[in-house]
Amino acid sequence: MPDNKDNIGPIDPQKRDTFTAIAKTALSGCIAAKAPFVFARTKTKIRVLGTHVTLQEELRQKAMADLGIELEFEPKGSAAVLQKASMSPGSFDLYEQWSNSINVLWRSGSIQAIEKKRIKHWGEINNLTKTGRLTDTAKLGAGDAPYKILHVQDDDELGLNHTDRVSFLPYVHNVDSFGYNTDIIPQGKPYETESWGWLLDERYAGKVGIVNAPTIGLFDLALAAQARGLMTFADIGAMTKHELDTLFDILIGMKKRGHFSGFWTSVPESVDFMANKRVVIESMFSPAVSALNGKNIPVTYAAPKEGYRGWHGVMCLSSATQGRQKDAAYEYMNWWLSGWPGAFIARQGYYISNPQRSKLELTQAEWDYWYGGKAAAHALKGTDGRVSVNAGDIRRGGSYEKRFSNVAVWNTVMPTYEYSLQKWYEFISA
Amino acid sequence: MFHSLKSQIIFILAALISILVIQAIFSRATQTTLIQSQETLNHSYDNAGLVYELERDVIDLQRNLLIYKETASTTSISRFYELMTQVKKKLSLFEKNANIIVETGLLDRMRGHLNDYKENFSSVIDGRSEREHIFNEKLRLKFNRINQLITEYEQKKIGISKTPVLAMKYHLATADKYINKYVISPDSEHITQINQQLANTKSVIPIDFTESQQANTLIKELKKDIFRLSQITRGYVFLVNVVMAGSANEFLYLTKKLRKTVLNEQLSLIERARLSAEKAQLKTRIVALTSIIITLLIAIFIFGRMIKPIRSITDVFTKLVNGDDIIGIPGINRKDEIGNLAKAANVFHDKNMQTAELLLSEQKMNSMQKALNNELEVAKQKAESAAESKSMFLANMSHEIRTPMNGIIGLIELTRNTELTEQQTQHLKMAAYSGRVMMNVINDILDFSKIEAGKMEVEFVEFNINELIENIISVVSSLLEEKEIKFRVKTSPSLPKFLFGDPLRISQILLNLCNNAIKFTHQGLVEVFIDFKSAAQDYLLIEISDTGIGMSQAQVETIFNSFTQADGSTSRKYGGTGLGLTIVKELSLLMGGDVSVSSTEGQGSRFNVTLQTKMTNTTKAIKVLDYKGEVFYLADITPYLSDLNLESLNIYPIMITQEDLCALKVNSQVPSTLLIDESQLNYLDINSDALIHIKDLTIQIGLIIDGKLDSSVSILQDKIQAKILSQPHTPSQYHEFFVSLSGQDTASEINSLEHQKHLFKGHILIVEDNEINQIVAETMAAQLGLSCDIAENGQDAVDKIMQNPDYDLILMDVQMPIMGGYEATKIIRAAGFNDLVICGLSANAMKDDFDLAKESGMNDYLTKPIEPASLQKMFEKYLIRA
Repeated sequence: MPDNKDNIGPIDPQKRDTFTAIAKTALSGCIAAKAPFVFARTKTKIRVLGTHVTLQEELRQKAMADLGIELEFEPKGSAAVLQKASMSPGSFDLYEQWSNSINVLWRSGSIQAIEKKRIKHWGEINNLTKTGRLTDTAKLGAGDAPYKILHVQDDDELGLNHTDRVSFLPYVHNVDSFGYNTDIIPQGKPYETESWGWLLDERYAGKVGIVNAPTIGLFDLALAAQARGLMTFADIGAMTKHELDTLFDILIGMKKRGHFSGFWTSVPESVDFMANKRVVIESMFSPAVSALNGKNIPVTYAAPKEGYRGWHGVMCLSSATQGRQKDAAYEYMNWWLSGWPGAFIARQGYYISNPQRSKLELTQAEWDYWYGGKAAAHALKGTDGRVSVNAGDIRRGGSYEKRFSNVAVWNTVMPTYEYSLQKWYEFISA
Repeated sequence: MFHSLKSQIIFILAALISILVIQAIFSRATQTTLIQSQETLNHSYDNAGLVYELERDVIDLQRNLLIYKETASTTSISRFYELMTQVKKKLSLFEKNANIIVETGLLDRMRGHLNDYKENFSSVIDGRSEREHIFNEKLRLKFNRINQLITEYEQKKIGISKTPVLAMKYHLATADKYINKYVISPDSEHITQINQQLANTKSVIPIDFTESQQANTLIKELKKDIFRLSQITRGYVFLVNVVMAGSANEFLYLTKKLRKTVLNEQLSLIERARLSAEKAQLKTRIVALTSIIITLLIAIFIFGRMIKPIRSITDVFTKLVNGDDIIGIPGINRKDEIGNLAKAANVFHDKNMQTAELLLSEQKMNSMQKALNNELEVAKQKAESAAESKSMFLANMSHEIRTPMNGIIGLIELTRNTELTEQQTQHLKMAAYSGRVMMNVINDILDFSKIEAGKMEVEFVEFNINELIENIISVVSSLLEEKEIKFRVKTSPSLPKFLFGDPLRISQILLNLCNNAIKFTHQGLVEVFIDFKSAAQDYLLIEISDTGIGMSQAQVETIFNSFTQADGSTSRKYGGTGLGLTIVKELSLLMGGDVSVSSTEGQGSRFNVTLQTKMTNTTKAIKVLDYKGEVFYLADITPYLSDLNLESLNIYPIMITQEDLCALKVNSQVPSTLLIDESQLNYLDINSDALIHIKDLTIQIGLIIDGKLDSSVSILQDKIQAKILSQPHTPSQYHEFFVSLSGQDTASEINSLEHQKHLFKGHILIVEDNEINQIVAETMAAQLGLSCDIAENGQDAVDKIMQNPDYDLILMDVQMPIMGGYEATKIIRAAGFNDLVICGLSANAMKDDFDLAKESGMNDYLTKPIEPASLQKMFEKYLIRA
């Protein structure tokens, strides 16, 4: 769903929207660039382009109060945000999206490098983005792993070598998998029996939902195909045309047999799919799982033995932003790592890159549940004030470290992106 | 509640009507349901059609989108928007018309997808247009410019190595080739190639390249354009391939869902229609079956409860009518009309039984009745014969008594006319009186027995009141001979001369009452007043008053009862049967009247009799006179004549006293009359001057005597040749008195009481079995100058007449041995002797006897004992005087 007309609304985790209106955004970006600049303002105004995941009204109010700046949130679908940002750096000051957009943005020149020294708590940022591993045994994950694209190399390319400049500020991140209705599908064991392969299990034919996004859904399906042993990928984060052909041959065949019930484009839609029993298993984002559980639909968010599809939030500075705006933008970035916002989004199930600071803002029970992978000592409230976790609940997939040690692939824009679009079209239209 | 057949039938009718109504309602409901189902189904087909069209249109949209994506054809744009409008319209139409329950938000989601699709399409157009622009213009321009710079450089630097120029051209051409490739088939490989070639181009720019600065810039800009081209291409391809395809597919999915819903709806509608049709059919069948069952039940009910019982009852009635016996009546315990009929039949039956019983008992009764009747008849006959015997006995007795009595009386009368001593005369007189009393007693007894037997009848014939009064006076006068009492008969001036009635019975009443009055009066007056009243009915009023012993009130109350006299002592003192007044009462009643009495003990009694009568003509008993002369009346203060209603005679007398007599003067021109009242007689000296004077006056003198004539009166009469009016007198006598006074007629019959014997000429036959009576009759006839033959009985009489019919008259006793008087008369008449006067003689004074006499052919009838006066009177009628 296109959300570009929405204003910043109250926190709505279900509004983590997806990918629309790229070309349109590109165009409106051009128009915005031509808008007259107004100097006569008492407060510095920061325009934030992003998705609903982080552009939440509570955060905006809190930040404005804390920083004494004015914030303008422009939440959009992922693809649209990327399109707009890549083509019109003048239309925003800060950009909040996923790590898979970094390559495009960086190459387009619409973002500038962030100086590490101006990030107050840089030192507290954990190794996920720095070395790629939270723990020694953790998988690095295929595709555009954040650590590969964080540092700006001397040749202005993004690379592994640590420099003083980074392409984005690491902050919100999480792992995604699929959800399944335990009324129909027997509850599996995390990391043991739960498998991406279930998505292509003939038993659930006609009851399978996939997110309608090649950069995300494609990996779910690729992991599934691989899990079922239908094919293997040399590098699942960079599939070749041939691999895509093979994969889509399999998928189109299944599609034609009616294996897939639908392709959702927004979190609410994915909730509807499951709630309406259109599907019993589908690619999911964690807010949808919470919503369904809230509706007493027993959906389990799987911890696939093949590993998660990870995603990492990136906060980028527009190449057009300079002066006071740039200073204010840095303040906002620092605010994000100041503890409170991390605690806030922790209660929504997301992680922050410097969790120790946010731990101070969380109760022990909250910390133990959200980060520690321990049973909730008591019922925990979400950011909306309602109980989102019952006492004794254990976060599926375990602790922060455990979950991020099992990332199979990161959301990635592969070189064969254009080809995958074509294939995707063939697939969903089959 | 439904006890009566009426209500049952009404109920049944109501039930039948209800069935019809229910059937009608059901069939209507069924029809409505079927029509509705059909309509809904049709509507559903429409919806299905609409959904199909939506599907088709979206596929068409996709097709046009792809066409546009490939060719950027404007036709497909307009076609796209046309289709979009259509789809939206159809969606709205569906939403508006489809009254089926669609999954919540389904249509909104479809619309949402559609809106996204449309919006995205415009973005695609923008992207596609920009790509065209970049590809056709921006890139072309820059390539041309670089190529131009290379050409310029080549031209300027003639003779230098061509290698860098060729290399530049080659790389640029290669880049251009990849751009074209990319445009045909977007692939980031091509972009990489392009960028590589451009970098290569840049790297092979010779040092002496004059416009290297410009070329580098152009290459840089080319790179940017390429980036933009790729981004834009990615953008719209992403939109087309992912977003819009997703939207379209989702839309199609939703359409399919919609179609499924519609189809399900359709199926359910069909199913529902089928079910409702089946249901309706079932209902109809049930209703029909129920109706049939109910109708059958009703038929059975009607047959069982009505027709059959009615038939049974009819049979019962038929049997009952035929008088057959029946055993039990069906439906007797029912409470409806049939029950009533059954009860009626039962009643009928009971009645029949009763009738039969009645008939039997009737027959029994009849026979009993018959026996009784027979007995009754026998008894009646016995009674009748007994009554007959009694009557016969009485008749015989009376006959047997009267016959000798007649003889006795007759002989006494005859003896009295002989030379006798004073004492003998006196004795005979007494003997005659006793005989008459006895006769009266016998007659009373006879009359009473007749009345009692209801055989007393009265006749209604014309009679002369004068004759009646004359008879009374004549009978009563004989009674008065022994008494020193006055007897007056007064008549009202209004009394007519002729009246209708029974003169015999009226006489009997008068005589009885007079007899009584005279019997119980010792001094004073017995007065009879006869009046006539004419109203709606004519009445003869008789008043008989006396100054006798009178009666107490108690006596008055019982005086008319049979055998009752004023008191027991009365019979001892006065004798009599006590039947007289009873007979009066009964006769009065018989004649449509009554009798009443008022009495004061010691002062006298007054009997008032009212009798129905009828006036035949207006002639009055007392005729009005045209009296022209003066009338002087010497009388007391209360003159007797004042009672006599002189006014009625048109006489207005001048009252005078004795003193006036001497001075009396008369007008000689007009005959004058002097009336002298009896009361004045004692004061008149026969030789007085007054009388002499009167004599000289040639005045006609009338003496009015209230009693019997005595010697002094006779002397006076002789002396002054006075006319005398004495009491009692008849109205005609009264009238004649004044007529004679007026000098118009000096008739000698002033006093009819004076027995004047006439002699008759002739030879009569006396038919009488009793020897004594033969003698009496013979003597009486002889005394009247007639010669007689005697016949012993009827047969004898007939024989005598057959031998010699030259009799002037025949006195025929009716009751004789061998042959009675009636039979003899009949034979005589039958023999042709019609002119022969036959007078019946009988002791029976009853009407029957008179009728029988007339019937048998007798001319007249006399009752025995034969009175010389009546005999003479009879002779007057038929015989010639000597």
